[in-house]
Amino acid sequence: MTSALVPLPVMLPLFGAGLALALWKHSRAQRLITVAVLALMLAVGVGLVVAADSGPVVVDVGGWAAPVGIVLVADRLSALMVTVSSLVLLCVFLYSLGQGIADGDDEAPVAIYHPTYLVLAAGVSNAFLTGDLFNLYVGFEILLAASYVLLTLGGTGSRIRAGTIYVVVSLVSSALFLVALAMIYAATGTVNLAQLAERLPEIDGTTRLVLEILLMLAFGIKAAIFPLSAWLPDSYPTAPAPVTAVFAGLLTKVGIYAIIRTQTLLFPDDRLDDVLLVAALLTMLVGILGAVAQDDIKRLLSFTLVSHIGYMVLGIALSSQTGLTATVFYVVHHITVQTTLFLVVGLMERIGGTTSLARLGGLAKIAPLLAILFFVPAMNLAGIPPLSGFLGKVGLLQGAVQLGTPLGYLLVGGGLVTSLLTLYAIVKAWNKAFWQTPPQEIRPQRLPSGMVGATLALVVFGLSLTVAAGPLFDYAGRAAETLRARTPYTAAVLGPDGRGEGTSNDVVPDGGTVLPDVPDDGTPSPTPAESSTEVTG
Amino acid sequence: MESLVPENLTASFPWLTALVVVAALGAVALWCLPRGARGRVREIALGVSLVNVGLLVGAFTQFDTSKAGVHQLYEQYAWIPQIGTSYAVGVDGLGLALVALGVGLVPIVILAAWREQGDDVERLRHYLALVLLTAAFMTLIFAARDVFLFYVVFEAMLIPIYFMIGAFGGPQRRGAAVKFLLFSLAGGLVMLVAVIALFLQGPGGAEGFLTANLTGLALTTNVERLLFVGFFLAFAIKAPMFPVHTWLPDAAQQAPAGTSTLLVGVLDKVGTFGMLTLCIPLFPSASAWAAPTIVVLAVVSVIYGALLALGQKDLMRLIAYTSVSHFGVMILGIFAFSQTSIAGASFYMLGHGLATGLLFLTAGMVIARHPQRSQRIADFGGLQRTTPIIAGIFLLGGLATLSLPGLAPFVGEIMVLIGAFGAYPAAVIVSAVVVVLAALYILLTYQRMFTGPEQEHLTGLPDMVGREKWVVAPLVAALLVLGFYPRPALDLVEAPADVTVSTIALEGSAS
Amino acid sequence: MIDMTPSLALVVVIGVLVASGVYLLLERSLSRVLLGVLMLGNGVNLLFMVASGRAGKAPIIGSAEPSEMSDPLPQAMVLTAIVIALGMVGFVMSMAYRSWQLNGHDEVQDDLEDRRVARKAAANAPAYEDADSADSGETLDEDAAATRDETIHDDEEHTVPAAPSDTAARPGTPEGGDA
Repeated sequence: MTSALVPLPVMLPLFGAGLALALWKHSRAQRLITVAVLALMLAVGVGLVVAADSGPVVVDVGGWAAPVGIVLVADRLSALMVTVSSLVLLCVFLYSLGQGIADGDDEAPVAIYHPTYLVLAAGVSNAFLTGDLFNLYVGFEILLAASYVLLTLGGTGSRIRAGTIYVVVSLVSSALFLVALAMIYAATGTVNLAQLAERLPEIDGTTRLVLEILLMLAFGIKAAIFPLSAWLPDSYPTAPAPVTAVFAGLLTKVGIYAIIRTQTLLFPDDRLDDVLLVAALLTMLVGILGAVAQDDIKRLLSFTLVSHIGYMVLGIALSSQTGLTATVFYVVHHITVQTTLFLVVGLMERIGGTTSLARLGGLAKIAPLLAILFFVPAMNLAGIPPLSGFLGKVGLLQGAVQLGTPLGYLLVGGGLVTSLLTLYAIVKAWNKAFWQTPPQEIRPQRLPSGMVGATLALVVFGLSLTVAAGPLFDYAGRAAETLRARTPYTAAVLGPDGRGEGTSNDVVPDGGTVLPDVPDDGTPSPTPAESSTEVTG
Repeated sequence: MESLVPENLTASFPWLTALVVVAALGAVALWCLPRGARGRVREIALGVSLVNVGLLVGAFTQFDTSKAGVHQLYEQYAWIPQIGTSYAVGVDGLGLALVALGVGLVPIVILAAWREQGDDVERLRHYLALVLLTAAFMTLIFAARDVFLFYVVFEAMLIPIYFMIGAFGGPQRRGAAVKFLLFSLAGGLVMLVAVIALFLQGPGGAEGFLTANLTGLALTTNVERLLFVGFFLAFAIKAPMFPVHTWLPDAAQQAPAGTSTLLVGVLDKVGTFGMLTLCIPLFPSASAWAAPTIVVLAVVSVIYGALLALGQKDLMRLIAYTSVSHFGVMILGIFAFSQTSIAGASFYMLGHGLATGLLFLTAGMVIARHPQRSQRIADFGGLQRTTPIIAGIFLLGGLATLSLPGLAPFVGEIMVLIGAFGAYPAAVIVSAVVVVLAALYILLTYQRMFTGPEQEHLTGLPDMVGREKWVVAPLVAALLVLGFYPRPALDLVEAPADVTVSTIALEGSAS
Repeated sequence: MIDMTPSLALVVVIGVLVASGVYLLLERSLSRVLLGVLMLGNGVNLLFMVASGRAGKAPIIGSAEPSEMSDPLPQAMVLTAIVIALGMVGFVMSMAYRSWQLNGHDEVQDDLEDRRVARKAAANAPAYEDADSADSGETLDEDAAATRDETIHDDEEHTVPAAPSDTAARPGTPEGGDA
């Protein structure tokens, strides 16, 4: 029964997108469809979180058994990601609805916004749920294509300029991913994650390292890890506020998720750990130094986004139970908080007319509710106790101290400096936007209740993460255990005889197989049958 | 080595949690007050703070003074077992005394702020809510028996103070508030690493952060010293001690008088309290190793604070620098490791809180009466003819600050000096000499502001009104009572001092 | 058993395609970038063909012996990649056309903020005067007009030096040549 839930987060938004596109003249129907689909996704996500607690839930797509067919796997990490992303997508959509209703839909091409948004949701869910590396590529492409459209929505000059940077960089990262896929297939003969987990330890170590680096590069661009992060602050700020919010909250985390999945499942030997630790340190510091220097609050938040990605990479690079638990907790926290902050900045832009900190001011008197909506997630981001940001950082620092190496202590120091500078940047933004007197007077305005309500819901969710920190840490700990053990995943996908449930055995005629021979001692790669001098083509 | 911390005595009624919860709920209630009731914010805030005073009296009845060295009124609940932290609160004699100081000062501060915002009741509502929130945090931090909980409150209480300085203060309030926040947070972050590292050295598990579980660990020398430095730095910034004191004068100058009272009178005691309750019991040999350096820095603090106080033109900054000097005396007392000096330092914390509170609040009254609300000393003169009661109370506060015999701070200071003489005679002599300097800056200031010819722009100023008399009366009474009859308070603080001394002695004999 | 020996010609073609693709990706004009993306994509698709081993009979059950069939999975993956590339190319072309509509050119501009920072830094005079350095002598500010720099509109007092004819000079080439 629960395995029927697994494909729903992917199918529902795709159907919804098609339906919304078909009904492109009826904006009310479009809105209803989108909200309904996103709410259903959230419910399914919660169901998956509960179901995955007793072990990964696997679905063989099309009935083709793994590893012949594509599998969708919901283990604890995937289910948690799907749930949080659905919640964030829903709140951001309600926010954009509130904005659209208040402004009238003349300016924005709303007809295309709804289907694209749903396609983005489908891509994100697919990326989280897939158990096949090529399907991960497809999931990435789905969400990237949707993101291109959303980023350049309206086709204004500044959006095209910023969008071009984003599109070209993403195309390069996709090409890198494809290269990595081709190499992986050539080396192991499969792209199924569970089967790769079994076969990769058996190939040559150097080849494996090359594959790991290639994948890490492709995902690193997506996740904006230094030095592959320069595209993010250049492209994110020009998009409309809800779009930036979704990108900041979700897209980079998909990259982080992919890194977690491949590092724990495919490459459990920790050869890249030191490199990742250094990259984490640099990302943290370079990102936050960039943030401190900014005058525009959207760019400031983009830089803090890059910087806090460094924290998550730190957790992954620690390769310990504590580190991974803290990473999972921190990912959930950061998705929520970063999205909330971008939504609040959208509200600030609405009242103040600008996002430049030099021209904003005095918002605390004009809009006290906005001040609270900014301050709470801002303090959460900066890691003030007892909020969830602080708890996540404590876990990460604990893991780093446990490492005991000089690099570990260096990272502890880097983490602390980043925390302090984040607070400094946030307090500076708070001072300038909310307390200082603005150069030109800003007239008070009534903010649309849809926008405020959606933001408030996310702020409350962020606070609930603090209240529910105990159970969440528990769940993250169990997720980390499953990830590090690897066998629950591979056993659930491949079953006892190396095949998933579903058909594949009967169709292959007896005695013949097109799959490469897999002798009992486990060497997978096919050996050249003819002499090596033969040259074809 | 078996733990030196005696068994905790569990509370029959959660007095400490009740104190925290009532204050916190009071703050929330003020924020969520419906429009109709918003005219009554002062009364509501005062009522909540008086309820807290009542709870405090109840807590005192359950506290066994004969066992003041033991942590009583103890409560423990699991909080986040995966991290290893629990909600554990309990107070020994010193903790209870400081909780009492905090709880007692809050109604006085609320009374003092009655007319501070003029008729703007909305602003006052926010201010009083922040005061109550700070009160909740104050109680919790003095009562925390879980190191992680202590840290969380240590950082969290920066936020309401940040708002109290930054939104309600003087002309340069934003910069002062940011400086305060960043300074304290920097120290706190260093302490965070030490806290985590300490946890990893300890037994770990779901109760791994309990102070009792982390005391008496056998740490290697270098690790212990590094952890000690981590903790000590944060407390030195909080205290404040030279050379990391520079946030205090700015904050005190810009903050309203009530905020400065709470900040300097109570919250800075968290620094010295932390040194006594955490640094020494957790890292005894490292404390012994660092003591000579710390004593030197403390003496430098004493001299530096006094010298700089002499040159101040702003009244609030002057009082702030005198506090830097006095905290130096407290730290000297703590790290001299004699029973008398530690008990004296603890008593001095109480006395200093009362005296500085009186001084700040009276200064606030004077400043409020100036036509431009100026804080500059030169803008005042001859006030003792216009406002004799205020002048008298200010003089009393000033004399208490310079430890006049018969007032509470004298008892503390003399005990510190006597107790520390055995170990650090030079330090004591220098500190005693500085008392003369203290007389100089206090009496000179009094002379400039209150004696001399009456100034034109200051004629006709009202003297202390009834409400203000209610503000200063408890403080004056406490100063006099504790000055002449310190025995009850000494009973509270001497036993914990004994425990601390025996911790150091045991470490010294074992290593 | 599939022969995995790569064909030399294929490998060389892949190398050439990827190299030219990368070279074109670094161009200013979006159309050229797009050509670069196409070539890069084709190169990667051919890489898949190398990964699939030697060519063989069509992999349809019953049409040949299983041992003589070619590997169908990479072919499926390549088809997917081609279709995805098709969509992306269409979108990027429309972006290039839109840029042409708005600005008269389809060049990828530097990020505004980066450009501002670079101009502020370049406004600081160099630390030394060097007679024989092969410098075009053009400052970043003068270069701004030639490269259609949008930060030029920021600075009200800034006087735009006589811009070299746009069609003649490719942006980035020092005007007037150098030694």
